[in-house]
Amino acid sequence: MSEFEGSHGTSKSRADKIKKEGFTESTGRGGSGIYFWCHGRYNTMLAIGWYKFQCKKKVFVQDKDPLAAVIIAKLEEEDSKVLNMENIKFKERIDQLAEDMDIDKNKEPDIAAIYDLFIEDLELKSNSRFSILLLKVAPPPINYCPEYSIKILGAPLCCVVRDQACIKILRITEGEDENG
Amino acid sequence: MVNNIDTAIESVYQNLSSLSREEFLRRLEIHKTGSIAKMILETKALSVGEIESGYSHPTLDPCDLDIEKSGVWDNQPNTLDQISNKEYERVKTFRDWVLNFQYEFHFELKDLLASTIQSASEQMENIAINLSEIQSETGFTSAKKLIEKEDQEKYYFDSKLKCAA
Repeated sequence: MSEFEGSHGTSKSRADKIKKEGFTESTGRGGSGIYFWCHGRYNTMLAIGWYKFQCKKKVFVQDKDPLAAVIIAKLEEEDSKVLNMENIKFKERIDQLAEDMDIDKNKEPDIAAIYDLFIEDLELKSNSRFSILLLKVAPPPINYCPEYSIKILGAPLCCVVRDQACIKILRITEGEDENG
Repeated sequence: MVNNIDTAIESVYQNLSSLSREEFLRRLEIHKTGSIAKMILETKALSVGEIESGYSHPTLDPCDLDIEKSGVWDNQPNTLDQISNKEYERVKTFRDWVLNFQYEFHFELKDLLASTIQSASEQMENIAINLSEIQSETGFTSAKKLIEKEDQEKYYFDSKLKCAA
């Protein structure tokens, strides 16, 4: 069994809705899935940084209560349904495939499509959908999360949860505004 | 169930690499709009290496981008899926460049701009003073006429040199 503790930054209104109705797959940054920062003691800071970054983009401006909320959750799933996209073997094979098929390795949409294709085939082969994808992502811009030093820590890990049954909410912290 | 992920990865790799390039590209095209592809692009998962190394070189000059035409800034950057792949790539590269610039120069930018503007203002003031002096000395009313006069003199001088030779 794989277990992670993750954080999800959002507005208080949305956190209340999540508390009552659970997460929806559209809650995340992009693509389908629910996004959690899984980077140890920086989880809350990353979630707040992300919330502030979203505030700047006026994502929560129409929410009834736009103050910050950080959802801390335990993510739990069988090992076979968790794909660690940072797995060296996995990345090497994607790289080799791009080389074999003469794909421009600097063309991000093509590389992203290889990942998409590869993961779909992995799922078909195992006749099972990965519930959790683990990968490194860009942190919120530094002015929204100055505590997180990418130079020391590298890019933060994120869990993309595709089955909300894996999520158990542990606690919700609320109250800060975008300047708090 | 995937009992051994490494074995499954190897098997999928062997299957995909055995496809013809045409067949592979055909399948790839379908996956460009897949949810995982979208997630990877939106989270900048492919750019984290560059972010980690603290360097991300721009591949597009901002002046090449017709922002108004793309219409992307009418909404928020998360509406990128509303525009074509080509425009997506261009806008994303531009956005990355801007963000990287912001990362690198966030604190220095204000001072840098202020000193650049001050320096440009001083230079413009000097040029204006010089022009004014030139105008009063020569009676020419514009720099263009002054250049024309200089060109004429140069041509006359060159002709004299040729004659002398």
